[in-house]
Amino acid sequence: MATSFTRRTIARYVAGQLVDGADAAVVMNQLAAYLVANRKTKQVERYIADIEVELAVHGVVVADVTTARPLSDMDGSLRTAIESLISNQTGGRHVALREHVDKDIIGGLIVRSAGTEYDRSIKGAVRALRSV
Amino acid sequence: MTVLSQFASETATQESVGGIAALGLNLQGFIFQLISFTIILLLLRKFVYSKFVETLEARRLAVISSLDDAKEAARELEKTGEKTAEILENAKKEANEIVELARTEAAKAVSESEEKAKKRADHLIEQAESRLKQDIETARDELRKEMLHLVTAATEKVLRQKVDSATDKQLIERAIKEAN
Repeated sequence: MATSFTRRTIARYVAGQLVDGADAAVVMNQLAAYLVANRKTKQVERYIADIEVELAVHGVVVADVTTARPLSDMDGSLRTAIESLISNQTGGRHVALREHVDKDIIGGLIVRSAGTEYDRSIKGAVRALRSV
Repeated sequence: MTVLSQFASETATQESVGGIAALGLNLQGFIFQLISFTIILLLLRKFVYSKFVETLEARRLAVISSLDDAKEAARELEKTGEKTAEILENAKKEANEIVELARTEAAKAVSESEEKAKKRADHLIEQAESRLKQDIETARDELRKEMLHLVTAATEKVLRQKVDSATDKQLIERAIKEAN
C-alpha cells in the first residue's frame, strides 16, 4: 500500500525541488507516479495549483498568458515585457509563463496569475461594451 | 113617534121654566156634567196624566241626553278630525322629511359613487400610464441592447479581419504600458 501525504506536503516538496534546480521532468514523473499510486489523478489540477502557490512563496510566479497569435510570431521583446509586468505586479523574482493561443480573443492579451486576471483583449473589450 | 113626542114634551117644559132654564141650560145636567168632568179629570190626572207626563219627561230627558251625546259625539268627532288632520299633517311632514332624506342620501351615494368611479378611473389610467412607460422603457432597453449587440458584432467582425500581427503587437505593448 502506497504512503499517503497531504496535498500541501507534496506541493511544498515539488516546489522545493524545482527551486533547488532539480530536473523538472524527473520531479513531474515522481509526482505523477505518486498520484497514480494513491489514485489521486483526478486531483491533479489542485496539486498543480498548490505547487504554484508554494513556488510563489519561493518567489517563482507562474502565469497563464493568452494571445490571439503566438508571442514568438510577433516579437521576442513582448515575452520579456510581459514577464517584467508580472514580476512587477506580483513581486516575484522569477516568472514562468504558460502561453496559450486563442484566436477568439482577436487581439491583445489576457494574463491570469495568482488568482487575478488582467484582460486587455479585443474580445474582452467587446464583452465589456455589451454588458453596458 | 117617540122622538117627536119627546121633543114636544121638552119644548113644553122649556116654555114652562124661567131663569137659567131660559138660557137653555139644564142646571142639574150641568152640575152633573161638571162633577163627571171633575171626576174624570181627577182620574185622568191620577192614572193617566202622571204617567203620560212621566213618559214625556223621560222622553224629553232621553232626547236631551241624546242631544248631549250627539253634541259630545260631534265634539269628539271634531276632535278626532283635528287629531286625524294633525296625525296626517305629521305623517305628511315625516314622509316629506323621509323623502328629502332619501333624496339627500341618494345624491350623496351618487356623488360618492362618482367620486369612487373617478378615483378608480384615475388609478387605472395611472396604472396604464405606468405600464406603458415601463413597456416603453423595456422596449427602448431591448432596442439599445439589440443595437449594441449588432454594433459590437459588426465591430468584432471588422476587427477580426483588420487586426494583423503588427496591430496585435501594438495592442499588447499598449496594454503592458497601461498596466505599468
